[in-house]
Amino acid sequence: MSNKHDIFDDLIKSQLEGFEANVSMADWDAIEAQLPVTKRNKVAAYWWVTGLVLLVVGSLATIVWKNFNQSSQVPNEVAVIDDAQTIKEESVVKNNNIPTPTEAPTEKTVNEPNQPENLNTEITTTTSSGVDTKTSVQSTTGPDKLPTNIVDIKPKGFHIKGVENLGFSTEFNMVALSNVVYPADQLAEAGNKETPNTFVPKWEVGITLSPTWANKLISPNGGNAWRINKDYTNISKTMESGSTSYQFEARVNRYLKENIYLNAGLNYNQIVEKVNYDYTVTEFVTERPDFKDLIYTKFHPQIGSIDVKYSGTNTYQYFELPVRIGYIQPIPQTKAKIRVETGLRYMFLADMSGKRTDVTHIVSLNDLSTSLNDYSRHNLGATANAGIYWGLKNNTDFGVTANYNYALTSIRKRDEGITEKPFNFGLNFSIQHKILIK
Amino acid sequence: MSSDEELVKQCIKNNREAQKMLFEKYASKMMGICLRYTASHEDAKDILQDGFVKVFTQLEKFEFKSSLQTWMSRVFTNLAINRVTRGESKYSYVDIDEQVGLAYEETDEDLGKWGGLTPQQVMVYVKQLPEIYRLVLNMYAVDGFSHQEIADKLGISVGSSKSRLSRARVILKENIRKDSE
Repeated sequence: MSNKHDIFDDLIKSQLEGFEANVSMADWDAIEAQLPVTKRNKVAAYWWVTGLVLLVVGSLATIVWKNFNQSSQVPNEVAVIDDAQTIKEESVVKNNNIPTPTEAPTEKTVNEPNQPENLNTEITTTTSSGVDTKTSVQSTTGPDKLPTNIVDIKPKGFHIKGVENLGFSTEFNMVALSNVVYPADQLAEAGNKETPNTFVPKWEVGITLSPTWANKLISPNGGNAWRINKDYTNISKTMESGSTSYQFEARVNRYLKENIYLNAGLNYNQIVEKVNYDYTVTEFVTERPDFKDLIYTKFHPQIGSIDVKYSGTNTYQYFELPVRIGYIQPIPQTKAKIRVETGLRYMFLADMSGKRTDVTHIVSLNDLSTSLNDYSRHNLGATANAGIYWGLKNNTDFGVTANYNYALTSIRKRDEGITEKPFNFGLNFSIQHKILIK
Repeated sequence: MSSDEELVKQCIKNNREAQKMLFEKYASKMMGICLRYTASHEDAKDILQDGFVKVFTQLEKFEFKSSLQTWMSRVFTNLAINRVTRGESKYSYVDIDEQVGLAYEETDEDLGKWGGLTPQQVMVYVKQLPEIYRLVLNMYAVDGFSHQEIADKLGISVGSSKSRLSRARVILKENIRKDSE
């Protein structure tokens, strides 16, 4: 029989060359789902993420700044005492941070040793409407319990000017005043400084950069494990490996107690793996879901075998929102502190690139950049770290910590034959700035 | 946006509407190619979907040296051939029937019967062919590959290609003769 293009072939060609068949729009839907996100959408997504980050950071910064300002609006010019006998109040006195006479410390004074046991003070206030009011203050401070740190005491009364930086001024005229004392350090720093052994709520903001080693744990997925090609496990173990990666984080700490804080932030986490496929396939696989089994059929001898060779790097990019609890402990007589954190993180798989062998049909390599929607993009992870922080200056610390992040849920979809959980560990280098808030 | 040139430009820009128009314009023709090479409709649909994804991602390489349909046909044909030869067809089976090597005497009557069939009927007969014969028949008779090209593409000898083509013809004619009796 001839192998030239004969009449029979021409007949087939004429009947089949322009053969057409109906397709449904469901096919288009399936195609559209596999198409990469349009650049415009991609750019828009990045803008959304950037906007969200700016909004969160901006909101936090506003809250921090507002609280910080409120707590810093305390008198920094107080305790100027003179002999004035009248009080003129030019505006409403709002400041309650100036210690009252009764709040004076009870340490013994060296300046005025012979004072009466009960100190009676009468304050006359002249308001802008001209009405005089009188306030009596009785001090229980006795001569033996007067503070040592006394500011300019006048025996007949004194005049206090203060709080000019708050936009109003105050003048007091003390009538029948005797020996009321105001410790200078308490006046100067009232309400505005962390005192030893007293917990002051505070915020910390920081950034970290973490070179890490990343890899993935792969295991059979229970009832779907039948989909795994008999050669897949060996290929995955011997031809896929972890690689260096990195993580960048913006973080905020809110102290609950002196040593304990809650931490939240936004991470960009890149997980990288290397693949070096070099194997020969001699059978094709038929997947029969009803039978829950794979059927292996040898290629026809004339087809022979198919070699799969590919080397490359696969990259998985995540945005993460961690929530952690942390403990920090200063090391005595040093500027160093030990810090330990642990918690959970929400992981959003933003993008992938590279190629990986298929779990069932190992003869083909899946293009990860077009398989994004075949993966589970919303996952939960655990995170922990421990390290040392050194105080630099102005409430700024530099830290080096060892960290470990692990996905608790599989990044593969539920009907996949395998579960795949990425993890990474390494050192993170961080700069943190502490903001104190009353 | 009627001309293929404009359609291609918009598709390259990832204009989803243009991509849909291109699909609507060529999908039935490309499905014809997919059906010729596969035994099942499901396999053909798989190839159709993957083929369009490939077309959209590789359109930048299209230089208008041929018509868009010719270029797309080549993409789909190559994809279908690769799928079938790599055993990725999920629903197909390999049926190596060596008895088809029997000699066959062709008559004018056979050609008459064959010529009287509709394309749909021809397609049914082609799809009944074992995969390795259907593949070579399609490549040689319909898509115009030479035996050397078939041999290179499938990793077989030129002699094997010729042999498979002969067997494909014999099976087809035999099946038509059986059905008409």
